[in-house]
Amino acid sequence: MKSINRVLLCVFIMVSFNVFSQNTAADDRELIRDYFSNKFPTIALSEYINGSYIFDAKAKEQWMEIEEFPPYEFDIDQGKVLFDTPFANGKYYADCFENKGIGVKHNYPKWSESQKTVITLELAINQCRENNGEKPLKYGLGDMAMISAYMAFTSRGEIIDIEEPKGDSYASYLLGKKYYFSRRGQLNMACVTCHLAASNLKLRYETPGPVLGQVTNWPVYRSKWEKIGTIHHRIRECNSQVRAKQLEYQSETYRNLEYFLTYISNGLPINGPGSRK
Amino acid sequence: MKIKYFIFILLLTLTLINCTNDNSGDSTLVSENKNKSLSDHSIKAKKVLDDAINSLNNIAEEFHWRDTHLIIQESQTALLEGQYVLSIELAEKVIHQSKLMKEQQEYAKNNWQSLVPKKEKK
Repeated sequence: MKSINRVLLCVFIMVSFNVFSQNTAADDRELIRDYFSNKFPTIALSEYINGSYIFDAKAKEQWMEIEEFPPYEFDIDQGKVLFDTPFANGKYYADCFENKGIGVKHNYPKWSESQKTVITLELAINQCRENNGEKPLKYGLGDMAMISAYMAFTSRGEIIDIEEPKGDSYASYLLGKKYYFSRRGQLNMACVTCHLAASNLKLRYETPGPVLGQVTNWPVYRSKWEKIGTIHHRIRECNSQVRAKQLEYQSETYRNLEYFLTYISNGLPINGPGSRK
Repeated sequence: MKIKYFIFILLLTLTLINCTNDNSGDSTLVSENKNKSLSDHSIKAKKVLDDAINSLNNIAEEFHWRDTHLIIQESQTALLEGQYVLSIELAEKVIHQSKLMKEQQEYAKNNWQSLVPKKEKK
């Protein structure tokens, strides 16, 4: 009997240790912030919305000049036109979102208790279309990126305010976190390899953007693409660059990853759409 | 004399006929062997390709590598074109990559937290 009690006690201690040693999402956020604060004490946290340009004054200067006549300007205009175009049933995108879709980007992605999944802004846009009898838009580039760009533009300056993942939503958050920290692809690299460990280092000619603030400026007009694209388009490109298989746009894995990334940047302002090399 | 000549010609003809028959038997045999050999290669190539495709089944999609599916396609094309050796080589490459993917997946499952930054003591 004594030995059974001892075994049960050991199991209880092990389970308790496992439960209590598991970081909460808030702990993760603090950990990442501390990491960057300690590594780059002269860079203010609010600066991280500017990506890798915070590490290179000359590159930042050039980027600021590009932003004076931003290449995504026409995309915002076109996005507004698309956003304001009524569906065949006479309803609008605005009818699907709180505050008529103006200044809501900082609340996405969000956990949907009814759908038990993470809802990104782009997914919400397509759900809106489908609920109104329209065909979903293609993700990644084109009209979807433009509408998303317009909605991000109306949210500029709003502070990212994702509710702390707990319970079911924490499970999705954790999957996103695991994805971020897992090595994959033929080059055996994790997202963290470039965007945390290699912050302020060069990968060939480029400086990778830090994980903190990485989601604030999407959709982005990349000079390399010569068009505006969504964050999932970039994640797919990242996958390909480490020679991993590209998953589908808005796959559950990518949405969980976006959820993790956005929660980490909670408290930073939206500055999308943005431009990058 | 005529009879001897006739017998000689007859024997010669019979010998030639016999030789021809023997040759045709040989070529049939070679042809049969060749067909059998081709069929063996084809069956082997098909089996290795199937094994290669199945080897990906127990790997999560997020751990698949970018070019593995292209190699499968190339192997399938080679098989259809009768390039069995090439098809087998490519399929074996896929099987090798699958082993590495599986290893990577298992490593990530047990060690992903090793890349999470540690809290610095103040």
